[in-house]
Amino acid sequence: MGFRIQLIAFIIGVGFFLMILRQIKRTRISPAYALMWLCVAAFLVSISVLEFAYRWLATQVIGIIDARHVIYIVVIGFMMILLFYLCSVITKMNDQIQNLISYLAIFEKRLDDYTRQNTVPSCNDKASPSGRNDSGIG
Amino acid sequence: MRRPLIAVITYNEEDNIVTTLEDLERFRHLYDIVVVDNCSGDNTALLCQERHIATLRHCVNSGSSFGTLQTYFRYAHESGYSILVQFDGDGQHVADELEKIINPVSCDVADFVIGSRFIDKKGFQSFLLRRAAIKGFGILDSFLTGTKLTDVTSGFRCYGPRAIDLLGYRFRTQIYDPNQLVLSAHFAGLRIMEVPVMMRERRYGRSEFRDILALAYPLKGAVNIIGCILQKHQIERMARRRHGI
Repeated sequence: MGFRIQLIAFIIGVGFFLMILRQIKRTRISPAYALMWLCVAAFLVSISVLEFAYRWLATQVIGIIDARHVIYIVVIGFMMILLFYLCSVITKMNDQIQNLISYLAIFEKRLDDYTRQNTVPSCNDKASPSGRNDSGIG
Repeated sequence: MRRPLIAVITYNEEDNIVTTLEDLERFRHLYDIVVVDNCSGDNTALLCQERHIATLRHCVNSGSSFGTLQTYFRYAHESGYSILVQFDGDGQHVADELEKIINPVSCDVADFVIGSRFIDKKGFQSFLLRRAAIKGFGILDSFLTGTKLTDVTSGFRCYGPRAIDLLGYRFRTQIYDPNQLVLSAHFAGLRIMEVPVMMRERRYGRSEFRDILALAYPLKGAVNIIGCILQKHQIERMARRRHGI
């Protein structure tokens, strides 16, 4: 990897890192997701800084002839883990929404019943003593 | 003891709901009725309220008719009902048949009764593709439960007090299809029974199983069965904790 591309990867990695920290500060991202994306940012930075280590890992340990393929493997692996995690989160949220829907339906009915039982006629509902329409309307 | 509760589940059934309710109202002296409306976009809920029928309205549509189960189970459980019947609002179910599915529960012969249209083969028998899927799941569920089941997808079901408590509790996490319901009931130690009933064809509207997405139904069903088998011990433990079954 040339020096220029290493520098670009480093800048992108650090920029990404800062962007995530900013989102954490503004509470726009939950800690669990933030941790995952921080790992991605760390990976981007490490590619530029520890390029020799990745090359050694790819060729000597894993046995990948072209070291660049390690990046694809890591990215695809990360995406799969992320999708699986999001699926489980969605399922859990679906359960919670379902629970809320049923709770709200019953609550609404109970509230309706309660309101109907305890409705006190307001002053406006009473006919005026003179029997005329005093509201001035109609 | 409270009277049995008939939970009528509806979704955009303004053309069918009035006849369904008229049919049920003939037995209003015997049963309580509640309509669970799965966020209809038409006048279904309004028509029910006009007839002074208790209505539980979902503020969001919960996908399939199975989304309503949690609501009526919770309602029955919280209101202290000991017998609960699911009754479809599309006019397929016949109120005269209610006694048949309630009797085994009220006599304490079963905890969970399914009304099957395939035992006596009377009335509407559904379309071919659905019948094939029901047959396949029936064989599989019969094998897993040890009880002969012919119409597991039937929406005409009756639950006794133990079923209301256990399945109501279990429904805190969603149950997605009838196979899961039947297997959960079996693993929870509930006595399952099928009784012959007559059903009609819906007059208006389309069944949710007519959709192209219904082709994925057997696959989803298979995944649900596997999931339920994996949860077997968890369900057994839950049943033991709650009822000492």
